[in-house]
Order: sequence, then structure tokens, then C-alpha cells
Amino acid sequence: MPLESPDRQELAISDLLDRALNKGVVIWGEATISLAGVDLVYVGLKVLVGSVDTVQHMRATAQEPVPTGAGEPV
Amino acid sequence: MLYIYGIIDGSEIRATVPLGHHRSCVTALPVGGLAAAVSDATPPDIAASVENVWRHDRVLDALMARHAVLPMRFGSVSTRDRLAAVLAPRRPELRRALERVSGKVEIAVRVLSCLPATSTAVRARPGDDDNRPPGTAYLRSRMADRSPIAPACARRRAAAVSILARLEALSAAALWDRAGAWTLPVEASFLVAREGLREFVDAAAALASRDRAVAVNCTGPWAPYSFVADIASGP
Repeated sequence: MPLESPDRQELAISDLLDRALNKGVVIWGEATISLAGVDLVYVGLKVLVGSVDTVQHMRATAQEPVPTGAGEPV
Repeated sequence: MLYIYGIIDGSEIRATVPLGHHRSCVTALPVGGLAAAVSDATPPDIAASVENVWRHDRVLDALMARHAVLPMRFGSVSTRDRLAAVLAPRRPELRRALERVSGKVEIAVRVLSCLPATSTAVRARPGDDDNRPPGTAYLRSRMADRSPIAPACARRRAAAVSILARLEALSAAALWDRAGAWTLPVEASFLVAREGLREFVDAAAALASRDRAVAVNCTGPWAPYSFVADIASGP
């Protein structure tokens, strides 16, 4: 077991934020991100671990605040 | 103002898509055989909350069920006219990019270090004070173990490179720092055919199980955020 034992959901969120906020198509001058009232944006966040099924589960339940407990394993 | 989720193949949305930001319907803004998937963005400031980023992602995930999709970076807003004017001259480039990602998803992979979990790594150095707190020796051993010149570190790095190279053979494209950091974790992004997703994930698990020094973790499937960076941006 890795000592760097990260939470699966934290990793999924990290990977999502890393991609959605740092990557993707940018039309120059068009992107605006409001950082006012940020409840969790930690750009460049690098945490560990996760699973494919965790992402699907979190995506399906993302209308509610994301829980912080351990995710379901693959 | 319009919030832009991504660029899709086709002039209309064929997928069932959830509501977007501000609970607005996601519609297609056609631009010469392709379209931008957009929703009303009034007011245009979409807070960069986890919930909103997941909403952006859920729209893209739904679109990907029936379309090739080029994901826009979260927070992209524009007027209808301005968006059409920006996209129109880039249609050939966007079509090529859509063809490249069609039927594929992005998988994020990390190869992690499985460091010794017991005190076997703690060794006194010659001249160490016997009264030194155990934690000092432990941290010293951890630092030595993570040193780029440490054999264990080099072996883990080699294992990570081997695993990623094998996974690359199962993917359409891969992005990772081949010559970069000598410490784990090593992060990579793979573009994987949707029908090969299970094979890819199973292969990652199998490769990880062969070496107790490292672990492999995957997340996804994501829209191909990492594989659209070459689409030129500009005014």
C-alpha cells in the first residue's frame, strides 16, 4: 500500500481541476474564471489516487456537494 | 453571453445533455459543419467551484456519448457573434482535432512509490547519537531513499517508465515527462479508445501488481483536455 495514501475522491477532483482549469481549448481573451466566492479551487492541486469508477460515481452525484469520504474501489 | 463547454462534430446536439450552468439548457451554435455546445451565461461569472467544474465535466461527458468533443477550458464565455467569428476560420484545424479524438477518452495515470512502511528503513549512521529521536532517523532514511541517486529511487523510476511505456502501447496517444523528474509520482495522460478502456485499466492494474515498489492509479474517463493543447489560441 502506498504511504502516500490519498483519497480516491480527492484524486478524482484533483485530476478534474487540473484538466478543466489548466487544459482544454482556450479562445484567447475569452476565458474568464470567477474566483470570487471560491469554495475550493486549488489550481495545480496535486494529490494522489483514484479510480475510473470513482469518477463515474462522482460525476453522477456531482449536483450535490462532493463528499469527502473514501470512494468506491474499482 | 454564452458559456462554452466544447466543440462538437455535427451541427446539432444528438446526445441527451444535462442542464448547464445557471440551470440553462445546453444548445448547439453551428459553425460550418461543427458546433459549439453552449448555454446562456447570464451573469457571465461562473464561480470556479468544484460543483461548477463537475457540471462542466458532466455536460462534456454526456456530449461524448454521441459526439467527438474538444473540451473548452472551464470558464470560457463569449458572445454569439464573437464565438462564431473566432471559430469559423479555425474549422479545418478543429475538424482535424475532432477526428483525432473521435471515439476516445482521456485517462489520467499516476505511478506512485510504495515506500517501506516499517522501521526497516531506519538505520543509524556512523556517529549518530544514540539519543537522537527516532523520527530524525526515519526522516533521514526517507530523504535518502528519495534521493535521485538512491538505487531504490532509480529502480522505482525505471519501473514507472516501463509501466507507462507498456500502457502507451495500448493508447492512441500519451503525454508524460519522459526525461523529467526522478522522483515519483510520475503523472501521465493517455488517449484511449472507448472500447479499449477496460483493457487499458486492467493492464494498468496487472502491471502494478508485478512490482511491489510502485502502485498505479487511474482516473477518468475524461474529455480529452490534455490532447487539444495544440489548437492555436489567439485573438
